Amino acid sequence: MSECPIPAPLQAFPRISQWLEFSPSGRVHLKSGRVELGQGIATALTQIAAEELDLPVTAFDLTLGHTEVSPGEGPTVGSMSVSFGGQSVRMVASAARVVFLEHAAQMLKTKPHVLSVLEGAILKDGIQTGLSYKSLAAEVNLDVDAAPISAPKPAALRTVAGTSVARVDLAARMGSGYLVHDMQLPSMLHGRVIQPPSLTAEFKRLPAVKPPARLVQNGRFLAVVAEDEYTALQEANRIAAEIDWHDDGPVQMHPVEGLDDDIRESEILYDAETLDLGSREVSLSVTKPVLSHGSIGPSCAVAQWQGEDLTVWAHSQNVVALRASLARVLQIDIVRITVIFAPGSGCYGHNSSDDVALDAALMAQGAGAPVRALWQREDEFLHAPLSPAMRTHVIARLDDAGKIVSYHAHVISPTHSTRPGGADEPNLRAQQFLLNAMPMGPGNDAPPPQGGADRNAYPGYVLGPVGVLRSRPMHVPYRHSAMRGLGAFTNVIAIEALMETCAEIAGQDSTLYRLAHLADPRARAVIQQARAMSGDWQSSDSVGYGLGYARYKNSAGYTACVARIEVDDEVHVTDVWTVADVGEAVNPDGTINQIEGGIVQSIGWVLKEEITFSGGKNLTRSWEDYSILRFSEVPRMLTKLIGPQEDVPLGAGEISVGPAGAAVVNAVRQVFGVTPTRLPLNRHNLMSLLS
Amino acid sequence: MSGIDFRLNGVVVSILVTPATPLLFVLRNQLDHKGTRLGCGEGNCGACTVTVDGVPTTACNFPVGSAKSRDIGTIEGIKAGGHPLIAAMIAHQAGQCGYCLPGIVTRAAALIDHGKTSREVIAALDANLCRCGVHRRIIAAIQETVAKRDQS
Repeated sequence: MSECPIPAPLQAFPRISQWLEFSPSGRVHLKSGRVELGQGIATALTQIAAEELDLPVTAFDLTLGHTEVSPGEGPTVGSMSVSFGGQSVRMVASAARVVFLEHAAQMLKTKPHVLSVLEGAILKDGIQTGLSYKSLAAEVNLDVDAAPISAPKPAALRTVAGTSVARVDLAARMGSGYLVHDMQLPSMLHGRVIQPPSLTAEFKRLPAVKPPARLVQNGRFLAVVAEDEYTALQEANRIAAEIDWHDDGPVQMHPVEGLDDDIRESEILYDAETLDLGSREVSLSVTKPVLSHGSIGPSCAVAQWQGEDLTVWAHSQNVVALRASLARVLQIDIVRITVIFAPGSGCYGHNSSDDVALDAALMAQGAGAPVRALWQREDEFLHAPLSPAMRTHVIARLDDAGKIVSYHAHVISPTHSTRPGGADEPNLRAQQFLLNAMPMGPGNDAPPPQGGADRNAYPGYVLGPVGVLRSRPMHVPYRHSAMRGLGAFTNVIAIEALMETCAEIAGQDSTLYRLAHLADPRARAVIQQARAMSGDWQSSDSVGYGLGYARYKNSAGYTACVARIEVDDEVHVTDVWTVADVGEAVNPDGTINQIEGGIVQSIGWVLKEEITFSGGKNLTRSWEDYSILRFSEVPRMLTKLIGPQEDVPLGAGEISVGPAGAAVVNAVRQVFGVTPTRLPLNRHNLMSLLS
Repeated sequence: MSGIDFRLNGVVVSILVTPATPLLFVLRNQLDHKGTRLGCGEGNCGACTVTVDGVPTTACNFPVGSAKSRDIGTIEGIKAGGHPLIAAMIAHQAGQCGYCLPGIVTRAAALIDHGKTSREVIAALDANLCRCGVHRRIIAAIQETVAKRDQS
């Protein structure tokens, strides 16, 4: 019997039949609330189920994130899909195997323990019995609770989970018809929303829309729909250019400057008894600008009304919350709404995928036909939720031997989550423009230790008394929400730059200095091995090396990165060596793919990316205004996983952004002899650093 | 509206269309070739890369009228033709969300087929954006494909 703790999703959806269905055709239907955002969860969940059931991975059909079909697990966020959703699938699949074998044992008048399964066929003492999942599918009752009978295989016996099975969806993703963008319903129209330039902007007169395009209007929500996509696009852009918007809203401060001057409230998250220890104080701050998710495909959704019933296909991270949010905004009974996850472009946090779902529903309602709504590139930069500007100020006090004896962090940032929260706080962009307008809610960061802006502000090191203060700016002239790592990116950079600075002041090797402040053997192991993997650091006036370490959320995977940079009039990252411990890695190559993807994003955030503002006005409209790393700029990467496969999976999707960013910042610090404080480290900010 | 003929992955197609319409929309919505994707609509991201007479071209800002009598190649043709780069991409798990991949594969496959070196192919990919950070895996898949081409 199971000795594992029961994961929360399985507590909420305890029966096998809520997760698995066996068809007499031999196919197995795996249902999960976790959605495939490109991170590989479909493959990982399939491997886990295949392992416990002794079936090939090709035996499964998946339904992920369907409000009528799959367990309503909630959001696919926080590097928790394998840890919670995957562990639930493991226990359910194991339980299903137990039920089938008990049923077969009764039929065969034998004991279940002499039975085994090979590719779905049930064997007795290694010999075919003629029974199989397929032959028993119609008669076995899976309406039973999984946890009490679940007995997952020990790690040493696994042959599928823990191997780098090829992604089940990659070939389809490289072609036609896989994405929500590719959906085609009968009589479907194409729609483009016309975004008000600001929340307070009003118009006096609307230009007429040229047939066959049609305008859909509800208050200040405006959209153009047409049978032909290019017609809809052209008309929407023409109308948008001709509308005379006027805006009497307040003039807003620049989001980064506003961090200094404009604090609304502060909250003590960790109250150190005393910070007045030691003999020397070391402090620094790191400031991150506003960032874009920058998914290559704009957000898309398809909506269809059939009488009072609404079906929405969306690439949402949380179909359950989207459904409740839509019900509130559209003021219809939630049972009338079905939300079905359909794949979109890459998702790195709370982007516009939920917003466009409401847009599609409104357009389909107004047009009286199914509508495929697609945002434009410019909408993504100007109107989608953005990763907020943030400053983290850290202070360490050192004793006479150079050891850190107290630590304080002050995190200044808007909240990092304004996700759609259902009926109380739907937070879908168009809701504030409708005749029955609803203001957007303020959002909320998760409380410590998970945290939002303050995520990883509490150090993973043993530093004596720790204080963490968190402040919010009063005015935030843009939508701010969760992007990969949330506050951990900035906070880890600040702490790691602080460790580097303190080591220098203490006159100690910075790797050994970190180890001297770390007790956790797994933390020590990733740092030691990453440092060893990076070889001799051949630093010079123009070549630097830096180390960054964190355990994401102080509870997920451990990551240490070493970055090598070359500096001319810009910083180029040439190599990144990474060692991570995520516990069990269901698909090691997929885990490495996630870790390396996070590294590449993080280097872009550190070196290049910034949503530019003039005062409170966002000036970023196209890829010409917002640079991300290109092929020629991506470093060589060597990544090693050292976690024990028999350990619980800790989560991997977001773990590398902080350590990789910190490694680059510390490498820059090594070359320039001073800690960079303002990101990104573009030419302009490097010049400021030198002067 | 005008009648326009061109070859799509080797097959002649005839459509009735406004010639200024970007080729991308015609491929996706009239010819049901949805592997070519709209990214930015301005030729900045490469998600809509196709080939025109073998030359990689962004279809979002290429008027379909200019495709008249020309050879248009898309990801569907590359997959149907069993291009070895596809298998290499899957073997290297060279994708996450995959939104950018049809454009990247289309550009890379065209250049590989034109005899370009790995270095040349990879340099040309600065015209394509990938946000998931899969670049190194794509590079590895291209290097493997070029190496096999050069051996045969």
